Amino acid sequence: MKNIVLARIDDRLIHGQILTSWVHTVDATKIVIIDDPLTKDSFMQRILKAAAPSDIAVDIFTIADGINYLNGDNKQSEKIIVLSKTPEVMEQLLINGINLDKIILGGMGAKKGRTTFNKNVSASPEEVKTMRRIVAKGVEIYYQLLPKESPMNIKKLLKEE
Amino acid sequence: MSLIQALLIASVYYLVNSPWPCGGLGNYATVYRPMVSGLIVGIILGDPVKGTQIGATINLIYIGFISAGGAMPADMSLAGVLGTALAIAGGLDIDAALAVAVPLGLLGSLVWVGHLTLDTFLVRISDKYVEDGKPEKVWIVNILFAQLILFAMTAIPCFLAAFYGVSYISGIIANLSGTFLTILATIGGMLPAVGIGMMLMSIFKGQAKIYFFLGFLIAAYLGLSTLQLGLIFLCVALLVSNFKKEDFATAENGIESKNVHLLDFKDVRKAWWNWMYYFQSCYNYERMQGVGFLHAMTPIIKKLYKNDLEETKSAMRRSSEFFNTENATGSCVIGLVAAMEEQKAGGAKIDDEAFTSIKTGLMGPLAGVGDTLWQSVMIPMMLILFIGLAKDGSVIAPVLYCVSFYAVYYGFGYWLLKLGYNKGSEAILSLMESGVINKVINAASILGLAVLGGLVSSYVSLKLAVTFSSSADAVISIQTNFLDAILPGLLPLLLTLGCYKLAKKGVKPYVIMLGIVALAVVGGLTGIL
Repeated sequence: MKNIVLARIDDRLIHGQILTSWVHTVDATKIVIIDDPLTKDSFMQRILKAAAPSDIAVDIFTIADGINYLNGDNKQSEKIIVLSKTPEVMEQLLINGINLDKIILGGMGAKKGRTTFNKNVSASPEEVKTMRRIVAKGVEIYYQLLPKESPMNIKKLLKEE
Repeated sequence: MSLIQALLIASVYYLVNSPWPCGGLGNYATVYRPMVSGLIVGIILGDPVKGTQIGATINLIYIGFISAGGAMPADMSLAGVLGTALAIAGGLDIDAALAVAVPLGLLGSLVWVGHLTLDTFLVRISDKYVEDGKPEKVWIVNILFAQLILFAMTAIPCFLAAFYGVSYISGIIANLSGTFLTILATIGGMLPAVGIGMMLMSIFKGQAKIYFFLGFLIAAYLGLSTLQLGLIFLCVALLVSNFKKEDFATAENGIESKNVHLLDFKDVRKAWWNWMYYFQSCYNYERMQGVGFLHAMTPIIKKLYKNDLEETKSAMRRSSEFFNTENATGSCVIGLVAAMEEQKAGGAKIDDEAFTSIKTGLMGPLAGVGDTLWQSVMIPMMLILFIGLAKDGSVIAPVLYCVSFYAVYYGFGYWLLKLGYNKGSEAILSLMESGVINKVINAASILGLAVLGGLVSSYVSLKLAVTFSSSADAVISIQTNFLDAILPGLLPLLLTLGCYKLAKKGVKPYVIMLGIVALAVVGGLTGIL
């Protein structure tokens, strides 16, 4: 399996927190974005690739291709950040044999069907259930915007009323 | 401190966090920085020179500070404003001022979280205006209410602390003994290493690392100031990054795609000023800059849909969705969306989904490029050019910094606004793909590294106090007889690189600071430092 140094749920994908802080802290060499609709949007693919600095490659995969890719042989010195917009994608990775030590929850924007989950994270009831299932598999989810902040385990927020 | 002075200090703390006088991010990059607010506080308390010096010293700790996407690890503005005020009024020296300022910075970050939480309630009022189709009322939420909340959260506690804190602080300091003051001075000399180490995190990479050592050596051996060093390395950076005129032209080449002209550019400009000044006035966890974006678009919406209540409502609705990006780079989205609204009002079939996808698609990548350009590179780089002068007591340095930053930042934003409005999303894509922004980042990193190296040599201090006597009257000091003979500033250099390594390992800045305090205490008590 590839060397995944950070798995993060964040619907803005590549943005300031990733590029000013995370890539430096984990010394990333590559960013892998897993999102089915994006693979059909060539404009956004080009924007995302252009946003990253020249020494960091950006790959955009469907869930199926992403699983294949991440299951491939680990190249020496490759350090990969995996980004997804929703917890569903992370769950699919876990189900299909991709090991993630932990998942960092960055941001999910407010939109129809979602309610505030924690600070800048909004989630639908379905997304909350998915996060519960991920945690039940033994993979902890931490809310953490920047590496220099303390990670907050979201276990308490996932407790059923 | 008089009542009036305390009130003024409290107003300064509010103002540097407000959109005035330089705009949302404009303020954050200028008056919010301790180097600048130190001068203002100094003027209020009748000692501008000391204010600037203290502010610049406090600022060094926060030089590598980045707040991206709604995360704010510490509040350097409280450290700067209140720290400087307490230090001047309490008669503290500069090192003791640092010891007061750092805890204030941690405390201040509570204001930020409170502000983002409380502003979430304002979204309900803003949604009400959207449902009523009243663009002319949006400012009431985005400016009036949001700023009232901010005023209550900043000015009141700051006033109390300034008015009642001084006698308390000066009382403590007056009772301190000699050893303690030595320790305080040691801490003050070492703390800037944390800020410089943090800043190295984002630019100390690959071959460019050499520039850091080069800057350090030149400053250590030749004693050049940071500004002199900066000008020399500006030439080097421009040479190395190989800028060409065509670099900037690629984006401008795009074709104009507009069919209808319903807006004057004046309206677009009005929207842009709203955006630059109030984009983050009502920053909140639910929509982030959603209310700010809506406020920015109001001149456009009023003009295009003035006779159509239903269209006004739906335009307001799509403008107030979740949005979060960097201020100046986000200018192109204002231009882009204004052009899209213009085409839509002219009959083009553009559905809400198209607006949402362009906004949500661009906001992340633009913030990635913009935060790196401004927060990791340009702001700290321009600051360090002037911080040496300010620390030596030049009151004009903070002013020059503000003016030059404002010009560069607003110039860049305005260019992007026109690009987005006139040339559309393809132009923005080709600008990003042209790699010119990365060139600017690289050039600024080279300059930044060299000047940072100079800063270490000039403004981080760590000296061994160990001496031994060889004969009756000859005292040999390890510091002056050995270390300084090889390389003056060797210990500060090692300390800074140590802080960088720790930060890189994920150690939190305040933990590193506590480590420095512990080191200084042990060193001071044993007489080593």
